[in-house]
Amino acid sequence: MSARVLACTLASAAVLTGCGVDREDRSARERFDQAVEDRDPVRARAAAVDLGRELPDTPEAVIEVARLLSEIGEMNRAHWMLREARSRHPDRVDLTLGLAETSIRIGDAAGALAALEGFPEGAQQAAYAEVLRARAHVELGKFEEALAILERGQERFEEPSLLRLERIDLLEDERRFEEALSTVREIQEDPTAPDTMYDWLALKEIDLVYAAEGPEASLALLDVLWAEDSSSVEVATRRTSRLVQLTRAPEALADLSAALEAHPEATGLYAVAARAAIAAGDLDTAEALLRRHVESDASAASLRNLALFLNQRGRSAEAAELLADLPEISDPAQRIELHYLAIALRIEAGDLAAARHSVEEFGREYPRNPRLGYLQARLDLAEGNAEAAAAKLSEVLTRLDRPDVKHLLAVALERQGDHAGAEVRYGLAAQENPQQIPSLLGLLRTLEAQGKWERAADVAARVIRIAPADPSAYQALARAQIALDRPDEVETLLRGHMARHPGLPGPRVALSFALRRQGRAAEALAVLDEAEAEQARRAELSAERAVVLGQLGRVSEAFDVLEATEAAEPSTRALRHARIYLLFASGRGEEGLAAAERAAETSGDDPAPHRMSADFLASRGRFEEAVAPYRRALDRAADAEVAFRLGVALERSGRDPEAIAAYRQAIEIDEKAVGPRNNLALALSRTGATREALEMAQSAYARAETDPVVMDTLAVLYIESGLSRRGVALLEKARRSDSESGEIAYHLALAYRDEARRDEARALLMELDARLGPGHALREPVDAALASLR
Amino acid sequence: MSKCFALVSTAVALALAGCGDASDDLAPEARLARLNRPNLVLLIVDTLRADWLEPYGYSEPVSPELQSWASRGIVFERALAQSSWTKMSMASLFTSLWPRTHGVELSTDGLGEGALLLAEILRDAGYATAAVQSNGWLEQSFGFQQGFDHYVFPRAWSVKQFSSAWPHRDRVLEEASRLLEAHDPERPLFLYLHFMDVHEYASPPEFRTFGNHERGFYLAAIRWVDEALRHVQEMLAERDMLEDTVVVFASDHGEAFGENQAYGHAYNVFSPVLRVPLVVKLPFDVPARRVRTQVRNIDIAPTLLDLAGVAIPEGFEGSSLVPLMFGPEPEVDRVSYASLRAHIMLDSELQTAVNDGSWTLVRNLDEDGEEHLFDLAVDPREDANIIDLEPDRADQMRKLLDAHERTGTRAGVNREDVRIDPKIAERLRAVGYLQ
Repeated sequence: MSARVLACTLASAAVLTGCGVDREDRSARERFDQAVEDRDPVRARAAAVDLGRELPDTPEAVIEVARLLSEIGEMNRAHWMLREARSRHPDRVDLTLGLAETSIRIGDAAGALAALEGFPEGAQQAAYAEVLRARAHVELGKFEEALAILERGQERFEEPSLLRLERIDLLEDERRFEEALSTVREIQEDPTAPDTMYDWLALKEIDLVYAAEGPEASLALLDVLWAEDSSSVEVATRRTSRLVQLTRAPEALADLSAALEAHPEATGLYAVAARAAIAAGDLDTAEALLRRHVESDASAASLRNLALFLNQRGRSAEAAELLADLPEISDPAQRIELHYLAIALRIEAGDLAAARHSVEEFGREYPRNPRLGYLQARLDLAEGNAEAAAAKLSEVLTRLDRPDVKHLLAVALERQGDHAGAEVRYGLAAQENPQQIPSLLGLLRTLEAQGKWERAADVAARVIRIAPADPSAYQALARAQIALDRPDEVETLLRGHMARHPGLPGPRVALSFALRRQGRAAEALAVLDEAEAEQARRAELSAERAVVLGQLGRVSEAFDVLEATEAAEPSTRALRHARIYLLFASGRGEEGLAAAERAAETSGDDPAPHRMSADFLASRGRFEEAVAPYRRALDRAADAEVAFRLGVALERSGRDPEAIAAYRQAIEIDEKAVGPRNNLALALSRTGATREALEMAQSAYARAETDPVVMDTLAVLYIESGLSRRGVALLEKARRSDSESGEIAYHLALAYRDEARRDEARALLMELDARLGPGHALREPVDAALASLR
Repeated sequence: MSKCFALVSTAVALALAGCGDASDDLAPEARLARLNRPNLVLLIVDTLRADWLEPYGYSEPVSPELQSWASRGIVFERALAQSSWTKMSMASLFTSLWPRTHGVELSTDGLGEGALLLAEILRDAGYATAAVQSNGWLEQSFGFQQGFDHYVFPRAWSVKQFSSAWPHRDRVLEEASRLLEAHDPERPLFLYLHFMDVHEYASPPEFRTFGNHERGFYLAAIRWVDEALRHVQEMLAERDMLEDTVVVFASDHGEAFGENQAYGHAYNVFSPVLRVPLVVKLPFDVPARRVRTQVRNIDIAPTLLDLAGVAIPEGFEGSSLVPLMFGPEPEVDRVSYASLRAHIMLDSELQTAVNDGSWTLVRNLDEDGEEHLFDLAVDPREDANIIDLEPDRADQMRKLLDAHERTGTRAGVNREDVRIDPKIAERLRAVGYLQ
C-alpha cells in the first residue's frame, strides 16, 4: 500500500463524505451499483454519465457523485462537476480539495494551485491541502519545491503524519531510497506518531531497504519481524520472496511449515508455503499444502489456487471437478471469478458439453457480465468455430481489455489463416504480459508464417531467455537464423540446446539441417550418428538422415533408411519429403513427381510436395508446367521465395502481367525481398510503366546497394528515364563490383555509346566479343552494338 | 405610376441586396486581410502521414471530413515536420525554432522559461488559451503548458476492474467542449487539441474496415480521428464561433511502414516520416487551393500570429504562410531542417537532415557519419542513396547542412534534466518509448 493510499484513508474520508444523493438520481445510482456488481464497465460509465449529467443540489451529493465518477476513471467529469459546484460554494473546503485533487489528476496542476490559493490555514484539512500543493509542484516538475512545502508543513502542523507519508512516497518515486528510509525511521522514533502506522512503517522500511540495499539487507529486517510473529502473511510473503531470490527456497519452505504447525489458524500461510515449494521444485509438497489450505478454509482463494495449480500440471479435468460444487461465497466478485474459472477449466479439459451447460448457467445468472462473451468465444474456438469466436472476442475486447482476451482473439484469427491480424493480437497480449509464453509462441508462429524472420529470431530469443526449457523456441530460432543466412549462430545455439536436452530429437535435426545447408553434410551425418539408438529410430531423425545421405551421394543407403523407418512407423511428412527429394536428386524425376502427388493427397495442407515438384520442373526449363504447383504451394503457405519463383516461372513463360502480380505478392509477404523488387522493376519497364519501374528498382537498391545485378537494373532505368549521367556512374560502380558480368558490361557499353563516348563503348564491346561463345544470349546484341559503332 | 413603383421597387431591391454582408463579395485575399483577431484552433493528429489522406491523393475513404475541408480551404501539399519525435517536433512548432536552435533533444529535455511559445504571445495579446492533449512527451513538466490558461491532459485513469476508455478522441473532444463552454466570448480563443489515436492505431471495431493488419488498423484510426473534425466544427457552430475561427490541421510527424526499412517513427529523419498534412480552414469557404511550395511546421506559429494580427517575433525562424495562401507561389521551396539526436527508440539512428525541396541530404551523427543523398524528383521515398553518384550536388547540400549545424543553441530555451514523472514514464513505455 502506498503512502498516498494510506494518507487518503486518513484524510479523504472527511473530504469525500456524504450520501445526499437526490431521489431523482437514485435510479442512476442503482444502475451504477448493479453495473459495478456485474463488472460491466460500459453500463457503469453510462450510469455515471447520467448521474453526472446535472449538478446535484448539495455539495455532499456532488462529492459523492464525483467519487463514483473517479472510481470508474471518469476523472475529467468529476473535475468539472467539482469546479462548477465550487464556483457556487467557494467557501466549502471539501469542494476545494476535491477540485484540487482532480485538477492534478487531469494534468492541470496549475489549476490545482489556483484552487488552493487562500485555503484557510486553520481548516481541518489544511495539512492535506499542503500535500496537494506539493503534488501539484511535482507535476510541474518542481520536485525540490514540493519537498520544501512538505518540510515546512511538517513544522507547521501538530499532526504532520500526512505530510511525512507523502514525503516518503515522493522520495521513493524519485528512487531516493535513503532519504525515504530516513523519513520512515524519523516517524518510527516519534512517540507522537499514531500507533496505526506502526505496522505499515515496518513493512515500508523493509521495502525501502530492499530497494536501496538488496534482498539480503531486507531479509535481516524480515527475520526480526518473523521471529516476533510468524503468523503474519505479509511478512511471510516478503520473506519468502527474498529467500527465493537468494536461492534459499527450501529454507523458506521449512520455516513456513514450522509456522503452520505453530499457527494452524494462519491459513493464509498455506499459499505462501506452496509458492516456496514450487520454487524449490517440490511440486508434490506444493500440492499437499494447497489441499490442506482448502481443507482448513474452503474459500474462493484457496480453491482457485489449487485449481490453477492442477491445471498447470496438466490435470484440467481434476481442477474442473474441484470447482464442480462451489461453496457458498458471499462476495459477488469472487463468486463470479470462481464460476468463470470452473467453466474455463472444463473447456481446457475438453469436456465441452459440460462446459456449454455451465456457460448457459453463467449466462442466466450474470447476463450482462462481459466474461460471458469471452467464455462463449472460448467454447466456439474449442468447438472449431474460429470465425464466430473472433467476432465475439472483437466485441468483448472493448469491454474486457485484457491480455487473455487478446490472446484468444489471436488464436481465433490464426485458426482462420489471418496471420497478420493474429500477429498484432499476440504481440499486444505479450506486451501486456511479457511472461506469457503461449502468446509469444503464437507470435512466433505467425511471424514464421509471414516470413518475418528477423522478428521471429528476436521473439524466439526472448522466449529462450524466459523459458529456456521450451524446445520449440530453439527450433524457431534456428529456422529464422537459417532463413536469414546466419549459420554460425545457429550451430552454437543448437549445440547448447542438445547438451541441455539430450533426449529431444528436434535440436539435433535442426542442427543437421543447418550444417548440410552450409555444405557440411558429413558433419551433419556425424551429429545424427551421435543420437542414442532409441532416438535414432524416430521418424524426424530418419528423414533427416536420408536427406543427408542423399546429399553425400549415398542414395541407396538413404532409401534403405526410409524403407526401414516406414516399416516400423507410420509415414510422416518428413519421411515423404525425404523420399521426394531423393527421387529428384537421383534423376528419377517422373517418379518424384508421382511421389509428390501422393504426398499432397495424403496431407492436403502441406505446401512442400508442390514446391518440390515446381522446383524440379523449373530446373528442367519446364516453366509453364511449374506454374500450377507453385500456385498450389503458395495457396497453402505464404512464402516469399515461392512467390518469387512463381514470378520467374511466369515471366519465363511469357506471362508478364501474372509475373508482376506474383512479384508483388512476394514483396507483400516479405518486404525485405530484393529479388522480386528487381525483377518487378524490369517487368514493369517492359510494360511501359517506367516511373513505377524506377521506384521499384530504387527500393531494391535501398535494400541491396552492393548487389551488381540490382545496380545494373537501376542504372538501366535511370538511363531510360533520361538520367544518363547518373546511370553511367552507377553502371561503372556495378562493373567495379562485378567485372565478369557480361550484362553489366553490355549495358555500360551502350550507355557510353549514347553519351558519345564511342571509344570506351567499343573497347568494352570488343572485350565482350572476345569472351562470349557463339550461343551466348548476348552474342547477337553485342554484334549489333559493335556494328552500330563502325 | 406602375413604372414609378417598379423603379422604386427595383431600387429598394437593390438596396436590400446591398444590405447583406458586403465582405461575402470580396476576394478571399481581401476577406483574409479583414480578419480581426479570429479564434484560432490548432488540431494536431499525432503520427499522421500525409500521403494516406484523401487530400493528398489516397484512394480509400479514410478522411472524408478532411477532404471536405480541403475542398473549401487551403492544402499545403508539401509540409515537413522538423523531427520524427513528438517532443522535438512540437518544440519546433510552438517556438518556430529549428531543433538545432531550441536544443530540446533528449527525453529529459524540456522547454525552459527562456522559450517563447506561441501560446504565450497570443495570451499576451489578449487571447484566452487552452489545450487538451494526451502525449506524455508534451506533459506540463516539460514546459509545453507555458502560455496556456488551461492545459488539460485527460489521462487514461485505470481502476482495477475497469480499463479506461479507448480511444482517446472522445475524451479530447469532451474536454474541448467543456473548455469552449467555459470560454468568455469577449476574448478571442486559441485552442490546441492533440489527438493520439492514430499514434496507437486505435479505433472502435466498427471503423476497422481497412483490413485486419497493421496498415488497416492505422487507416481505421485515421478514419476515426477524421470524424473528430466534424465534431469540432459542430462544437464551434453551436457556440456561433465558426465564422470567426481559423482551424489549422497538422501533424507532428508521420509513420514509416517499411520506408527506409523502418516501421514507426523516431527511428530516423528521412523525409517519408517527416511528410505531414497541413490544411487551413478559414472562417469563410474558398475555392480549393493547393499550395505546391514546400513549407515547414515551424511556419505554423508565425502563420497563426499573422492571422491574429499579432506581431511575429524577430527570433522566429519560420515565416508566415499567409502570403502563400492566395496569389502566385514563389518558385523557391522553403528549405527545411530536421534532426533526431537521441536514442528515443533502442535502434534510433541519430541524424540531421536538410531538404531544399528537390534534394535531401541526411547525415548520420554517429561515428561513421554516413551520408545519404536523394533526388526527390524521381525518388520521393528516399530509397536510393546516390551520394557517390552526384558528388557536385552532394557538396552543395553539405554546405547548407554544415552552415545550419554551426548555428548554436539559443540560451534559455532548453531546460535539461527534467524529471520524468514515473506515471508518465509508465505511460510512455506503454506506447513504446523508454524501452
